[in-house]
Amino acid sequence: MIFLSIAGHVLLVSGGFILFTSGLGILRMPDVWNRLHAGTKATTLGSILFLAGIGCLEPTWIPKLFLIVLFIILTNPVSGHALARAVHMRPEEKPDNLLEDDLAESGFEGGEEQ
Amino acid sequence: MKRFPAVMSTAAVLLCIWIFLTLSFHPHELVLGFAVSLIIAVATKGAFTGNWFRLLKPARLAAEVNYVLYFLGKMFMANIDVLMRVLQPVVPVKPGIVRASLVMNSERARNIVANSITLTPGTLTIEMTGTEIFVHWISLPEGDIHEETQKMVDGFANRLKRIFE
Amino acid sequence: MSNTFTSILFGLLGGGLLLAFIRLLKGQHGTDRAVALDTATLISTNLLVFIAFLEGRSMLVDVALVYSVLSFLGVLAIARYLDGGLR
Repeated sequence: MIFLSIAGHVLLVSGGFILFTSGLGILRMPDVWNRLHAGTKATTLGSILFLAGIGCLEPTWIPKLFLIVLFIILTNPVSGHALARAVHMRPEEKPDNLLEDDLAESGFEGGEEQ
Repeated sequence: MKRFPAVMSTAAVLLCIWIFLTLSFHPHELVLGFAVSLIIAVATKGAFTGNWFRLLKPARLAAEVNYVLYFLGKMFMANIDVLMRVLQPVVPVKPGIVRASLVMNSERARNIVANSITLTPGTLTIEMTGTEIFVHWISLPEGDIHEETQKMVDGFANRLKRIFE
Repeated sequence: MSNTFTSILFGLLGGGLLLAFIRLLKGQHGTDRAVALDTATLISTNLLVFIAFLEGRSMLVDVALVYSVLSFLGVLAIARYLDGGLR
């Protein structure tokens, strides 16, 4: 029991720290795509660790927390992908610090949705 | 009745979610949950999940466990990577969008590859066409960038091909 | 759970939320704001589960579940609008 409690506290602190870094990344990263890196990756692992920590301390909630984690893993990349696409579709907002841009060279403009 | 396995697998997933939410094994709850999940599964013709019963063959289970472990390891690395970048006084970025080819039979598998790439170190899927995928790097890799990107995409694609083909 | 520990966790989550909100107010473009909103909703989902744990009210976990679903749909709708798909 004491082991579960210690594991829960460690998971809570590491998850909280990663969630904090995601907020920091959103503020500090220089352009919108890099912000999206912080916003999708760090929040996913942060949520997994934080909710796992809550699950260690309150074992009866594990099924619901598992559903939340599953949902976050499934939906987070999708919203990140949608936002990344939206940036590409707005040329006036596109960051200009790219060292390599195959997407612009390919002349892809999106067009009709499949 | 060609869609029967797909409908039943969707119903099974929905019933699992129902049990997780209600947390009760009372027969009334189970019967009501089964009825509701069956109605939803028939109405959507099982399009949400497709037939996943065939993924339960023992030969594929090993490949699935392998993929999940590979993915979780990569995702952990991804977060250490982002964390290290954010905490430095000047955020080191070298962004770029690189094209890589991705040819797979199954749409679902392509979707999983794109989502996995988004969650792993320094890469973000921006756009997909029929046979290609465009990846944004937070910091371009050393050496030939196209080759490195292709290697990273194939790392996921080859593991998934063992599951879906 | 000790008082200091609770404060540290609230500080971390609230700090992350605050930084995301600064970007939400500052952001040069609409897309920056949408990205910040995406992060802020996820952090607040976790905050909601944490408050549910502190108060011992399991009902708030259901609220967090529904909130994560609805925030995903909201971000997706904003992204599709910025994309030009909802004209």
